[in-house]
Amino acid sequence: MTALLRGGVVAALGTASLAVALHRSGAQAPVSPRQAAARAEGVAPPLGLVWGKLRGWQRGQDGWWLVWQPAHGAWTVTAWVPDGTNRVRATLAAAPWLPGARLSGEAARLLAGAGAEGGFPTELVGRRDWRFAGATLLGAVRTDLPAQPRSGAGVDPWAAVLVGLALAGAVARTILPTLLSRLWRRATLLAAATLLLSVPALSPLAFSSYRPGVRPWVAELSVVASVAVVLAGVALALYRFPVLAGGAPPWRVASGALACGTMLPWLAPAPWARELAGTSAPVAAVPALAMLLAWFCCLAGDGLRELTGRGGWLVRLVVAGVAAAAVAAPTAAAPLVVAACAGAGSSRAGGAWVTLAVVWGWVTVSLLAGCAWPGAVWLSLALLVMGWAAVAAQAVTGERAPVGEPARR
Amino acid sequence: MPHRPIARLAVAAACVGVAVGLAWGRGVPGHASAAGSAAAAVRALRFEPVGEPEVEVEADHLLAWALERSRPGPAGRELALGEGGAVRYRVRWRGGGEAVVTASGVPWRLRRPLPTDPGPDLLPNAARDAAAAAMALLVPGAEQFRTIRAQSFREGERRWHRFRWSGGSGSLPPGWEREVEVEVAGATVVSLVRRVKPLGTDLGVVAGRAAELRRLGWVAVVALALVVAGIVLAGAEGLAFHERLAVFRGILTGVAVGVLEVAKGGGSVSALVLGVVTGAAVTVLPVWTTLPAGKPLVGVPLGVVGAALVAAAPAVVSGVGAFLPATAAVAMAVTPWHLAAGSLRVAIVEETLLRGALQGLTAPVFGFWGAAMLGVAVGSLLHPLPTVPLVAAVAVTGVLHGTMAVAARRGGVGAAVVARSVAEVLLQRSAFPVGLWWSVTAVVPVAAGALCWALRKEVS
Repeated sequence: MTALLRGGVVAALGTASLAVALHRSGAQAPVSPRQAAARAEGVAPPLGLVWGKLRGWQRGQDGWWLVWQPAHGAWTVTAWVPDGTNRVRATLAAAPWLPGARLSGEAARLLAGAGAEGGFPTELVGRRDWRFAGATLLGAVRTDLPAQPRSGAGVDPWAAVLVGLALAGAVARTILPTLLSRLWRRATLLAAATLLLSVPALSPLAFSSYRPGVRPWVAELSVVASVAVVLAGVALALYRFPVLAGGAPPWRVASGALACGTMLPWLAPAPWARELAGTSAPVAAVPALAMLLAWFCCLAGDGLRELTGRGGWLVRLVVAGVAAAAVAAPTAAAPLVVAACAGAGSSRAGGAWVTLAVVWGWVTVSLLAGCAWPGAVWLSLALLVMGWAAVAAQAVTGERAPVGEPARR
Repeated sequence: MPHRPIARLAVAAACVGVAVGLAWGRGVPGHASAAGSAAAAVRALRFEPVGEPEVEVEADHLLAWALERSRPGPAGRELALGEGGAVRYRVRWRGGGEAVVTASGVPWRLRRPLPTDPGPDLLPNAARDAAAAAMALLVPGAEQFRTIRAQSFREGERRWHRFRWSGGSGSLPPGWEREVEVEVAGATVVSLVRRVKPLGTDLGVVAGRAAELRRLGWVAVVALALVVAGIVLAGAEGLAFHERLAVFRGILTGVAVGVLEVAKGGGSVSALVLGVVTGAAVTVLPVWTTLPAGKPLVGVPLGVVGAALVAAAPAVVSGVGAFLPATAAVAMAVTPWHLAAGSLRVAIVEETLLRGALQGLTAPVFGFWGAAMLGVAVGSLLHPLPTVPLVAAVAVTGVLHGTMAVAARRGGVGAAVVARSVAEVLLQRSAFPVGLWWSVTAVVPVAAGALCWALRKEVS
């Protein structure tokens, strides 16, 4: 009877969180990037040259940035596809060593505006223009697009805090006596391997890597190799700084953490969720990424706990203070700081499970809050239900996770 | 055994011979004669330069390599130094006036101060005759050029004329275009500018490969960032477990790297970052007990071997129908000290990180040679030259880094540092001006190192 009651409470909490998650936010992408690309290819004027394949995408304020590039890489076509029925705008960027791309007459007439009749092309040394009776089009295409997104505009201060805490956590796990969790080590290594295999399918996320003059296969190779190097480093770290063994936290803590995670997208949704959902490998990549982020947050949480002290009210005070600061000054990395604080606030052994619950809720609801197309919605709902089902199973059976083995140094 | 020292002396002598062959008499010509050529060119505009000339190097490496690719062999290199205008010297006089001449002395850009009385305003035809007369004095084969644009405009009290001529490709590869622009103020020719418009595909192949290699360099940067994180963790662990750390040596190396970076013309921020990172890496090196013991002089002959292999690569690569530039990027700083400081700085920083920290971090997982190959892969993405196909660039730089890995195996990180500095100083020599002191800077330390290596006592 008690088990059923616990299961019922978890089910009620899960339903409530699901209802909150389904309350859509305003920043939802109504269509996937591939659907947006099909629309752009259908309505944009022919530029008189080959667009090439769709290479990457990035979500803007209320639309998709899409980039096409032919295999030789000499130019890119970037399109802004706004949500709704607003006009699609395309721009051409060519490598500086090209003499200039000639627009088709149709595209030139469209850009020159109403009243442009006839028209003849003129050849200049560094430019190819179109002259009409009432207008002249200088160069290639008008550049009245919204400002293009820039990557690496600045360092997220909470990300820097997380990295610092993670380094401290790594030192703490090396120095302190440790029982490692074999289950967590296998699961995280499997997640890293899954993500590594998914990387080629995730190359569209590297929107800013596609530049005129760089062939797309080189840009993709650069991204794939960089991610592979990072994942190799992560795998080494997973092996060297494993999660501590211990039972899972009580079901009340786990369900609270998962519920907290489902609220975090309102603080700051996962910035890559919509782009990731548009790729061909979100089913494998999203859970793997959540697993690795949970490990990372747990590491940072261990760092925060050990920097503060060995336990007691001071740790809880500092952890609460850091979490409150992250909520008060949210950036893209703030939810991960909250997850790390949740891990630091729990026991050393149970921290990984708590951070996993928080990160799982954050990632899945970020998908749900950011994407309106069926594939992404169903995926996020399935993952969220899986999370709540795991917590419910723990509540009903009352089982704890297996204890690990002594660490080999 | 008596034959070992003799064999070593023979190897040392061979090393000195190779070093002399690679470095002596090499370099970019024209530095010494640039001021004289520039003064002669400016005199053709009826202006006598006054004051001490300041000479600066200007180089368009992509243009030079595009010419090398379009005209294989020495012809392409000569074009880059001459009619192609890819390597130039800018000469400024304190008393006014400025001229740019190519490495082989061809006037490229001239500007004289506007005289107080530039003469009466000319009609366009007369101005064009004056401009053409000046061009005939300064541009070889001026008769091949035809006027493509003429402009006249009034600025203040003077009428200015600007004429542009196009000279076709001339001695440049087919599809390239030469242009000359001359400005006349009043009746005085005040400036002449030459330009080269490369064929898009010729320049694009080289420029595209260079951009792609820069993009691939991200992978190496990411790997080195992870190595830095590993250094921090290893240092913390070493402190916590009271392991042996080379703190004093680390501080000394960090300061040395910072000084060398500033001396080679780098900024103070990069000097600080490189000094701190290299110092930290040297400090924690004793923690990684998998690294071989130090025998630095072993690096001298291996460095010479590495330099010889890389120097031979363009001929080998072109032999199989590919392209690799035969000339290094021209150095913008030109004193012998810059050559020495730059080579040492690259060697200390990169070898400490690649053959020290990266090797120490990954050898327990991949074994010595697995970790060494990882270091070779990362290192080969750091400074490759644009090649066709792209993989040739990585392969050639990989050969150099492979030699450094062998040096590290034989004599530890110190041997790799010595080998790399020897290879760099020999390979970079051709990027500096022709002259005795640059050659001495490159050859004498190598000869001294080879002699020390040959005469050192065996330690059993």
